[in-house]
Amino acid sequence: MNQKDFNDILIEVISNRSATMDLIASYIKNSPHLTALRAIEVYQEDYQARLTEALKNTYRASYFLLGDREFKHLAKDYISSYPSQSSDLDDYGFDMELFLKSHQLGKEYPFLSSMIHFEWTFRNIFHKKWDIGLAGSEIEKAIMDDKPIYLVNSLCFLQYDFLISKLYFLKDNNSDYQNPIEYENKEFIIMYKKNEIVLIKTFSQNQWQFLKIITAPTSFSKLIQEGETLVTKNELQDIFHFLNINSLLKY
Amino acid sequence: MSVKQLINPANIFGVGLRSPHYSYLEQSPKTEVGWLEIISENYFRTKGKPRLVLENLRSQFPISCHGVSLSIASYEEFDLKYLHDLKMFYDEIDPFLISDHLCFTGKKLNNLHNLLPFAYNHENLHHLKNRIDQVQSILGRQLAFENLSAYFDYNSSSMTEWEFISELTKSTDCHLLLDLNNVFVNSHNHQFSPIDFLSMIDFNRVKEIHMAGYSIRENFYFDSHSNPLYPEVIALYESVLSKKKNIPVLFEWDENIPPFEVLEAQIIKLKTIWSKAID
Repeated sequence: MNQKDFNDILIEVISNRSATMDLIASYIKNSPHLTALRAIEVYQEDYQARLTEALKNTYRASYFLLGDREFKHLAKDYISSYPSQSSDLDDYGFDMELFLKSHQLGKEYPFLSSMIHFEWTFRNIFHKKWDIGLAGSEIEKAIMDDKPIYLVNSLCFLQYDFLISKLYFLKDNNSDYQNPIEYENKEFIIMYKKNEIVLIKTFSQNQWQFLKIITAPTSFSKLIQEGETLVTKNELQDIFHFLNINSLLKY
Repeated sequence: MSVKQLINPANIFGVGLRSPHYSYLEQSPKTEVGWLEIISENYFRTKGKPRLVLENLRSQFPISCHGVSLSIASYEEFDLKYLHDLKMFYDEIDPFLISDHLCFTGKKLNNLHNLLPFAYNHENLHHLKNRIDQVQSILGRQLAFENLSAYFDYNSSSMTEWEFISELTKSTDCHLLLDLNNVFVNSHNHQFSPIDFLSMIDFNRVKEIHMAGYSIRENFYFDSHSNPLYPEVIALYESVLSKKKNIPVLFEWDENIPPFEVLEAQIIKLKTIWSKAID
């Protein structure tokens, strides 16, 4: 067998643990410390461990919520269905949300799919260039001049049927986990970047929808007109205070 | 854009930059570490914090870029998008060295992220020569290739690893990244003398040395980068110093990464050995 054909089979053996292991082993030297079969197993184990670790790094909260045994079970099933197709291991796990739709754990834990979506979005924002908005005084001037204002692009809108942020932060605070928590409620979130740190803020549905208007350049007068049924004057002040102190607006 | 930093001949010892050390290094501490090596794939496409940290650190430290996904020994076509992005990244970072491994890592649609060995024979020598010429031409730079820690060898190998490497570096004008831990791990697992390996190496081709601590599994050694240096690996470095003294040396730690000071302690140990050798 030439090297090209051998490579193809070895890749299959390592990633799928297929039955051709004996065939591959016949091309490999036994050494006093490692038989050919054991050597292949070392690569199989390393492959599983490496990809599982990558998933654990991306989906830290899901790992915490599922626990080691169930997460590893999920990872094993995912790895056997979705090989890595990127040169960067950090990209691994993109299809997990889709995968969960047909996986038993996705049915057992209805919030899991949302958590996976949240954590993958977190990863995307983390790797995105921090888009810094304008200082408060500049925005005030733009509002006075009724220039179109819009949100920076290192930010995204998320909505879930569960209190995902509450579940997400459990990984950082073990004590809350001792008590049953109420998480079956809708949640509206903005995920954004400040000083290269990914942050989140939750809003009411109306506030969140009001903010969505500014994803496209909109003059302040038009914004007030379109948003008057969504937020009160006080809420409007709070929203603009939040946008200003986090430099999330441009014009 | 900061100015490229070059290796200080009086401090040739570096460490692998890993994210748990970002906040420590961002405080610009006084350090024994003379340069940093990064994993190219962890930085070349992100526009987030890792890239910002790298941009700041490269004004303070010389940078070496070490890749893990080139898959030079693969029989598939190169991923040209990957090479294009790498080239852009190297042009921006302007490292003092770029490197990858003598291995294949899987296929484009099934990247195992494993560093897999190939047979040391003329078929692969010819294949790798062509591939290295091609990639050096695309990137417009010479590369250094790292000798692998391999857990098996092929029945179809017709030469030793060191004969293969020696032939390859001669015929392609590429450099060698000599990993002493890998030499030692392989010498134990495959029963050869590490000194035989080192005696065949043209040290003018060696542009960087890697050192790390392996782990012991069952009765074989595993290249886990998870421990301080073992005396046997340090002895190999002493042997290298008797041949050439100014090759940049990297200490790497990748599993259960300890505080930066632990890595520095290893650097201090290596510096002491180096100082004695140059006296």
